[in-house]
Amino acid sequence: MSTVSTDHAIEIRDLEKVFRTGFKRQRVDALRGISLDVPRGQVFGFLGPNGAGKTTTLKILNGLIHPTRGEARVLGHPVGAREATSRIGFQPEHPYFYDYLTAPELLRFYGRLFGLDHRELKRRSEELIERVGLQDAQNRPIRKFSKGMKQRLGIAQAIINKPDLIILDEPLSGLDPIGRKEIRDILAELKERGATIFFSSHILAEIEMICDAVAIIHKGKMIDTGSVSRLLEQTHKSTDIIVRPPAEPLPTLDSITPHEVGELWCYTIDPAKVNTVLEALIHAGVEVVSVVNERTTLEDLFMKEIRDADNASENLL
Amino acid sequence: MIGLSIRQIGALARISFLESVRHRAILGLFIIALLLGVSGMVLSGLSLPNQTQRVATTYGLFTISFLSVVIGIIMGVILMHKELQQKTVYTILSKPVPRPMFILGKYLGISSVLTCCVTILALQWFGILHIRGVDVGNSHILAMILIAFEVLVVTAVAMLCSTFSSPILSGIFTFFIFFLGRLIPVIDFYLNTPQGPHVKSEFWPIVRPVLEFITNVVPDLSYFHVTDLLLLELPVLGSYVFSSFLYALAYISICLILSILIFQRRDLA
Repeated sequence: MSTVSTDHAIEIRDLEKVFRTGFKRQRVDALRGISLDVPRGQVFGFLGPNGAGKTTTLKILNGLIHPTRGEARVLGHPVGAREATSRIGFQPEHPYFYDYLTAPELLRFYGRLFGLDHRELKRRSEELIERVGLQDAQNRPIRKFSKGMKQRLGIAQAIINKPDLIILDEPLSGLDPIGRKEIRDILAELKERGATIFFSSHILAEIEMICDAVAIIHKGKMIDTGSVSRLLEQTHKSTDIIVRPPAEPLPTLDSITPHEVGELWCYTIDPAKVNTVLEALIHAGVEVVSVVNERTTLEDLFMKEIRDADNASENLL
Repeated sequence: MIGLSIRQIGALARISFLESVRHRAILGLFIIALLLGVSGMVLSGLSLPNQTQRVATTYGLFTISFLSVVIGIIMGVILMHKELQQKTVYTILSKPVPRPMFILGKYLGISSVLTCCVTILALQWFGILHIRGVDVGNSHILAMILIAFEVLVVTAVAMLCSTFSSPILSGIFTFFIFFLGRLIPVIDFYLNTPQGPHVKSEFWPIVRPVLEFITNVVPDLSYFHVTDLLLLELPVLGSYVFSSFLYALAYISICLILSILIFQRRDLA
């Protein structure tokens, strides 16, 4: 990791973070040696239940928290280095802003921190206000903004410097479906521009929709990581073959007994056996109405991974 | 790089200035300070005829100094705490803003508000003195400049405390330092009077090193008070103000460096 990598926007190696809390300085292991590579140009979802260590990881990547052990690099530079922070955009969870300012004032303030000149500040803040749909609220103080409006403003401040890497902590929380769609569109546009997007979220259906790859973290440990399609392919579900019942009783195929679904009957089988079962059914003169693949969702995968990790740790005890 | 740092400090100072002037508690305290200033006019009118100017001078100096310090402590403690608690600091420090710039910007913003505050209170005081027949001259202006130095020193202490402690503890701790700072001449007197009865006390061997530590660490705020000179109508020398400025600058620098060192290591969890 000593050389500047060009392939990965984020490189994390054996990252550990220990917090000491309370009067007795009790030890809390927030991260227990996680490693992760996020390729450039991808939309990467960072999943995990509450307290898994997602926010701690994101804060370390932004130089807000110092790791206890291990190393993290962003865009080939150590976290917190000016070369890195000037090319990163970050939106924290539940973003708070100086609430007496208006959205254009706030964006100009953040722009100044990047050294943008007056003309550029004006142009960029106007462009972003329009992009996140806050043009009707630009004269209103931020304290009068709804949660969704603050989230959109959070995205705007995170991309004011046209970053190469955008790190977002729960950007979809608190948004209604329209707001989520708007944020999804912005993220898609940023991806098209070549930016890498790394974000945490609890809304798994959205992650599945927009992410190229995901990493699942639980109790400070990395459970799984990879492209969404690969992870979902790993866990096969079943295929339902729906048939119209003939006059005579339906055959039992390969010890699979059909079950009734309204006026129709259904064979739930292993996807690998679809062809064999279909041939047998057609041969027996059964009318096949439809073949439905029951897909594994990211939520199924997430729940399974978390359950497996919990079981594994229980077995160790 | 230096140009960017200056721009960043300027942006942070500006935002701290705006935040301070729109903070209700701070605005409320400033209004109280203005009203107490006006009450000096009434009080001096109630005093004996030959004491009117004396009361107007001492009361004005005391209220301006004390209330400005209180405002400074509250600003130093609250604004820093607010940044951390409301997490506005996350969106700032995740940008290419080094932590030292954040501390400097914050301090400069607060200092500019306090300077405005002392200036307005001073103008009000000059008006009252003028009405009470006091010849307002350079010495009065220099006395106000010295008070501004004192306020900036105490605010730097407040900022230092707020980098490692809760707002209430920081406030109490800073106020304690302010109180001790005002008592340094008294402590010095005890330390430099070896023949005094206090020396014979059985506790003196324990108390003495504590008092020595206080005089070495706590700022001597008596440097910033020239009430006696004003009452005796003696001039406040520019050279004295300059040496006080250097003293204040050194103390503020030490406080800010320590604040930066602590803040650099702090996890913003």
